[in-house]
Amino acid sequence: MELDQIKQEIKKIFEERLNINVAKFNVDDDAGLFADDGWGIDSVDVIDLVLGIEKTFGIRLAQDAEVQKHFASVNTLAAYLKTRQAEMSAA
Amino acid sequence: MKSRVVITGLGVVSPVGQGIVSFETALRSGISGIRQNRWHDTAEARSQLVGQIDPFEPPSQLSREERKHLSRADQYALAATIEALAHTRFDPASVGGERVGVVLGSGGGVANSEAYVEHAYKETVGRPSTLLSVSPDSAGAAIARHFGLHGPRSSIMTACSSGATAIGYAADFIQCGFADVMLAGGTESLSHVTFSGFNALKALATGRNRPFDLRRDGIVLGEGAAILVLESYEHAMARGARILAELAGYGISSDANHITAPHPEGDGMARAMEQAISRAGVSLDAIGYINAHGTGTALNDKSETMAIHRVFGEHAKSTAVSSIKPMIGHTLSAAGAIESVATILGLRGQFLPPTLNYEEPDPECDLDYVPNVARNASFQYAMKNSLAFGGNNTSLIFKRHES
Repeated sequence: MELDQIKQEIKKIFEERLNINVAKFNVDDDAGLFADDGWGIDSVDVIDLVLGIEKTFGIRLAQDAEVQKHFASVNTLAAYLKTRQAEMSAA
Repeated sequence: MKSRVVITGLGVVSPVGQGIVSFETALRSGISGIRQNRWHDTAEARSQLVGQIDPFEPPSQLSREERKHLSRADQYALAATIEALAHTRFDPASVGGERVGVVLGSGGGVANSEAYVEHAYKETVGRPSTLLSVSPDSAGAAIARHFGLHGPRSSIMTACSSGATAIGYAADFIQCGFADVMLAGGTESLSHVTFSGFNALKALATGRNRPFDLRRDGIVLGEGAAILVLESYEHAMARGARILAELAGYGISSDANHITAPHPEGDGMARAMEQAISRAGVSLDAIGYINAHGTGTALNDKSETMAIHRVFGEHAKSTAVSSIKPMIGHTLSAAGAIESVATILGLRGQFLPPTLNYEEPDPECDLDYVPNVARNASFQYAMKNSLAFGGNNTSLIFKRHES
């Protein structure tokens, strides 16, 4: 999956699972996922986000700081998911 | 000596209004919040009526997260709590929250489970996080989190007596020394499961809800929440709180008889009332008003009337008894709490809320049911009775506070 396509899938999860009206959010892909001036995602939303990613990308996300640090913006998350996909196809 | 438990604050979300002022106005003027049911598909159902919170106005104090993630039931409870604490001008943070707790009766966010299951059926994406507020414990957790309450917390499920039972338990926490202040009450939000269940049991009224009337044939469902601030007398006096009433005593019992029907002669209810009266140490003639469970089913109203006869004897006929369910519907887990608020407002304002839709007397229900119009009265004690499926009975006695 190309980076742009991964970003689209992430936003689809925002739309379908987090009830975020993506079109109305005037923020770029560097905007903070948890920031009030970003996507405004909270700790409860994260449950739905993580489960959505696991289902869409067919991967398991560990609950550790190593994974959490990638949940900064759509860009960082997409980049992380791309490396996970690369690992999967290499394996 | 055990400390006295007083009520210092009230909050309510009901089909006749969000807030104590509009609720009391409805009680005094006999306004009903029952409307045509536009939420459920009722074409094939017994009842087309419902008592809904519509519109619900979430208080401005609710955070974005609370609005987004809490179920309706939890938001009702939180709204009632915010009002009750403002009413008594008490901020739990001012005492660190350690001696402040919460006991709630709640059915949980049933509508949230329904939405999730509906997604699964349609093979669309549901939100697993919405299941967080399905637990009946969620409302108490939301309140404790919002106000930083670190004292005792408990969730009560004794079906339709939950709200009343919660008040009794909360008082015990104060009397046993676990807390100085307790928030107690109940919350309920409408759901399809609840509506269908009562419909299938043929427990819903085909027309209006008419407690104690000869033509009564069932309940009309309602939703809402009420919270009472309970406090030890010493704590209330020390902070100069306005005392609204005293919880003089309560009683609790089980029929162990039938899964839905009350004991035919109201045995369990009578024992709960006797217990409450003896614990309150009050004479029968001092209790001027009984706020009944009064669901408007054939069985409930008859058995409740028999229980009152058994306990009050010659005083039964001179004691006013009324049910406010024709105004707000049967609010299930919240009923005992919302109706306790009505009882306390009546006691404080010395009026009797009426039983609406009462037209044709039933020879088997022969008490003074305060038909249709509220009445002024002079009384020092009032009783709130709640009965429930499974044979749960709770009786509370409130005492007027002379200041």
